[in-house]
Amino acid sequence: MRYGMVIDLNKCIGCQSCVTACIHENDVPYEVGQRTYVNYIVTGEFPNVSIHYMHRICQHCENPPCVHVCPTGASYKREDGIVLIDYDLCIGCKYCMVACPYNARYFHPLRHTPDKCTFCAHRVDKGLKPACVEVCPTNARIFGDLDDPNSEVSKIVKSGKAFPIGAEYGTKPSVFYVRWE
Amino acid sequence: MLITNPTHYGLIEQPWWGILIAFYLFLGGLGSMAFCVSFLYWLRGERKLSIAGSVVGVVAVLIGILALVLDLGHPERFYLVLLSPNLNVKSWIFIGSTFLSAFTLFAVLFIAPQILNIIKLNEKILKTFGWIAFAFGIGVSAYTGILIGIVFNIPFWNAPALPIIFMISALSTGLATLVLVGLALRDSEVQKITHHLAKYDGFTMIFELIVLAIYLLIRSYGPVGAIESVKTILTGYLAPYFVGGVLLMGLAIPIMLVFGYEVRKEGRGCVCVTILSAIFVLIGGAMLRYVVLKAGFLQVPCCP
Repeated sequence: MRYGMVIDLNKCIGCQSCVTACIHENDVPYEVGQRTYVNYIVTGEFPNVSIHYMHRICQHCENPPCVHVCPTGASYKREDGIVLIDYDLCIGCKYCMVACPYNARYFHPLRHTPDKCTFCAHRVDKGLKPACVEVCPTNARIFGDLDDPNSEVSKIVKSGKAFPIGAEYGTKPSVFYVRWE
Repeated sequence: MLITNPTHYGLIEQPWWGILIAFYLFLGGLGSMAFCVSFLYWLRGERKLSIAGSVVGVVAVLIGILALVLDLGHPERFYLVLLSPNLNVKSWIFIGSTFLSAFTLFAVLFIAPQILNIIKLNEKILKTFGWIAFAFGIGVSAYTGILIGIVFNIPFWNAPALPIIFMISALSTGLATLVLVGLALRDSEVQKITHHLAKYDGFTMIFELIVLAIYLLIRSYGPVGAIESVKTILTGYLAPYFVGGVLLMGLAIPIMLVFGYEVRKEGRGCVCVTILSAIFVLIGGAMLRYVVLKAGFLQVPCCP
């Protein structure tokens, strides 16, 4: 069991529904930081301009640097591959924020600890999909079990269409991206 | 489609570790090395300077620990670094905290019987405590560079030379502290030792300058994050702190004062020059930690 996500950047229309759903679902202090972002990348010169979208989210690495550096074990990886923070154990040393190559964490102003995407673990445990996946109108975000060969995510990853980001860091991310065509 | 412009990575200046951590890195190195050098003088039988020096060293480390705790999001949970139920013994914060606690404990055990005449311990036990504190003191000064050196996504920090620079700087600032402590004692015997200490500090600084130059040279070739960092500290907004504070004030001027005045006068020159150069060394050491922390650029992969 290893939960993963495929983000199809060709299908993304940049509507920011996933970001909004995440903020609503997880009560994210969006003025300070977000758990996921959809960034705009503009290329070309007028009049031949195009816009692309790039999603930023915790990569739920198989080999997570944030977990390796955490002194108290507050950052931990579950059996199903989801990387979580135990807010009661966290002392707020910010080592994980420095160590994360994806800049996936922000500092929660009320909790005084780092915070990040949980793959909506509370929903996944109930058999539901993460809020961002549920709400996406074009099904650009696909969630599933990477270890199950019949799941949609593992089929896309196996087809060679989806790539991880920052693979050179050896973090083995569980989030894969389908490149722009 | 491969997008070549804009770039395939993002560079973000790390905003999380700031002045309090820099202050700790400075005081931790300074204090541990001031203690270690004092202990070596203690072994040679020089008691007056060594006891004063080790007290100053331990106090500096304690102030540094306070800065570390204050930087936490939850300062009241600081004990969890050593006592958490899910302790991660491979974390360098845990290893460092162990070094810091052991150093402070054994250094206090070494000093307390000598200044408080309550319990009399024999020389052998004191020496054992001293050696243990010495070993952990080396650990404290070494681990700070490793702590930030293992962060592989900040290429400016992720260099084997960084822990070495921090250690040399720790030794240099520790020696400068001892020079100030020695002069404050106003003792003619101690005065001679402070002259030697100032000279040793001069050699340490020359070595530091060489290693620092090589480190910057190698980091200026890449990766992109490191190039950006080197640019920022040499010509960017951190240049006043690095070029002015570290290179000129912290290294070049003290080296000139030590070899151009202190050594030539064989310790019989004006004391204010020695004091001035020691203070400059301390300011330079603090600036070095601040600049290195501030100039850490995260190299974030942004495109698949």
